[in-house]
Amino acid sequence: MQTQASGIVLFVSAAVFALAGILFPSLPFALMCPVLLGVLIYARSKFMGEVQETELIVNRSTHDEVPFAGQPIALSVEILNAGPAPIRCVLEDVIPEDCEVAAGSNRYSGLIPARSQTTISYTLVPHKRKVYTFEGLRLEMRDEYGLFSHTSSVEDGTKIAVHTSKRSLQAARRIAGREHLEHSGKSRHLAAVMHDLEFDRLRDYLPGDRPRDIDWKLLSRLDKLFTKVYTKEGAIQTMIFVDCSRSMRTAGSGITKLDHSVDLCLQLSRVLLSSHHAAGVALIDEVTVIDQLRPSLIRHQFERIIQMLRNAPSTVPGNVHESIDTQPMADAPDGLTANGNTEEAAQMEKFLSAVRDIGVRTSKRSKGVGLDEVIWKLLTGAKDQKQMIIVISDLISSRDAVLASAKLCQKKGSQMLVLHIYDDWYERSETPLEVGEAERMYGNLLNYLDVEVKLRKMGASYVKVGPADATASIVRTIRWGKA
Amino acid sequence: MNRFRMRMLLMFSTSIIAILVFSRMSSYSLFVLAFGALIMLIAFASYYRPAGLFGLFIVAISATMSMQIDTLIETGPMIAVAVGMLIPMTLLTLFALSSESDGENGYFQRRPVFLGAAYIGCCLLSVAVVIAITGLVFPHMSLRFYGLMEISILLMVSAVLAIALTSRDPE
Repeated sequence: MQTQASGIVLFVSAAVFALAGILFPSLPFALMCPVLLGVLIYARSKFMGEVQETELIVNRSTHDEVPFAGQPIALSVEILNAGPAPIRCVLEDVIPEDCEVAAGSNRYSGLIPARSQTTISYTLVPHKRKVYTFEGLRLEMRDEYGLFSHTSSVEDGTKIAVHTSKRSLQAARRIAGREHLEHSGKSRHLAAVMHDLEFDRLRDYLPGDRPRDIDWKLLSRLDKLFTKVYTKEGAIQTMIFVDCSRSMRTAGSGITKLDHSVDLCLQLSRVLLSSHHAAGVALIDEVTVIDQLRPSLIRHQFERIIQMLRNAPSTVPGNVHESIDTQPMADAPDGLTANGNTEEAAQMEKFLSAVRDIGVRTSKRSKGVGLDEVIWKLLTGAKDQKQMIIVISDLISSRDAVLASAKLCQKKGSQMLVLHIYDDWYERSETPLEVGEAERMYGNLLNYLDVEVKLRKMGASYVKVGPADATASIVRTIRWGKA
Repeated sequence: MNRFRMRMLLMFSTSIIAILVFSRMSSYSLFVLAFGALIMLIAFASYYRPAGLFGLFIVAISATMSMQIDTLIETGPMIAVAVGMLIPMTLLTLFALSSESDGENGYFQRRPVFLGAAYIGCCLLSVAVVIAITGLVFPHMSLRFYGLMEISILLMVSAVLAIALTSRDPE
């Protein structure tokens, strides 16, 4: 409890009257001291009772169903004074970091009568894709006489998951009509075969048959059009896996890897759905599946994907290069070691080794955990149906899991596409490149070339993705077989 | 003007009358009291608490200077000081502090009223109680209490009680 200016004045006056009573031996002067102190004690006791009786109930609501980064969110905070005493207060809604108030005010100053409600309405602009936690309200209560004040907080804990920038969604809508993963003509190097076909027989061409079903080789030999007939035909289901591991979440300067991955996932799923391919999304971390949505072609599948991607974890500040030295990757059996210079590096190394240990204990099918386990379940659950697996990962903690998954896909006849979020490209350093750093990056490049070779041997497609790579260019790369 | 402010004004005028009745005012003191009271009234009308406090101190100085009491161990002066100074000055302080208030909050607590009244009462009776205790503990001791000793006892008791009553903070 703090004493306000009026309270201090009253207290000092009591002391002055006491002093005057002693200096000019006068009882009336001395008696003024208990009078003023008595009023202070009365006011303090009254205020303390009010503070103890205070009971505020906060209810926060937002009018936006899916808030997007950079877009204003209309917030409404209803504050109910459920206590028997009115509250003279200054209330401030504590806004989370990376947010700013765009319109209105997050403060309220005045009296809230007993058992009544007041509302603070304002507009907030979140700058990043993140789950924002509202800690609550800062409450500064003042007593009726302006002598004391008491500061406390009303805890709330409301969470608002803010999605990626709306520009990403607009880009997804824009490219959905233009780009597609399927190749309409003939190509020897199709990276993505999007249809599951089983050849049955040939028949004469009939007007209306699709050009891709015509046997063009026979046309050159027999000079007659024949159409290939399939017994089973269906679009391959596609599952996009977004790696949300610790290294993906670590944010350096510039665009973060996870944010870019979420954007890519959003736009790729839109491209697939617009081409009438069933698409699903799964968010995975080192150990488990955070959330997943089965491939489907139902009406609101894209909206469901948008909703689901809101559950992607927030990025955390830090520098993955400081915490992970990938130079000794070639020597290390698990592919990753920490440089050990910093406490953060030691923590990261400890974390990765713990994750590896879990993998060794829980899964005999593969070296990694999380991703390969999920893919194994997906492929075995689909029986004979082919699947298209797209993995968006930086391959730091999930490298082994991705390799194991590629092997599994090869065995099951499914396709795999790895969009490698290339870690070194996401770190924009202000200082010139030093020799040690350049060597580390070169080491990484060699290591990842090795991974690429292994993946290609297993029939998987591989694309390195940097912060400047847009979905449209990635889709074109895949379509023209350059992946 | 609402009922609360009307009541406050009534309280103010009663207090001023009580001070005037129980004190021996010179024309100079009377002028100072009137000036202080006027400032308090203006502050109350203009919802300005600092001016109200300023007026209160002027009234307090005037009232204390014109109050003639020498001891707190006799009932006559004690009642006179309680009715003519302690109660009116307490009410005037509350009046000055309520300058910016526009109404009662409808939440009455007994404890603060009891604590405030008990504190002032204890301070007023402190000298008499100390003398009574001394007489009981040391019955053969002959003590003479001077005015300064009474002031010292009063201030000491008021300080100790104030510290004891304000030591608790809200949870």
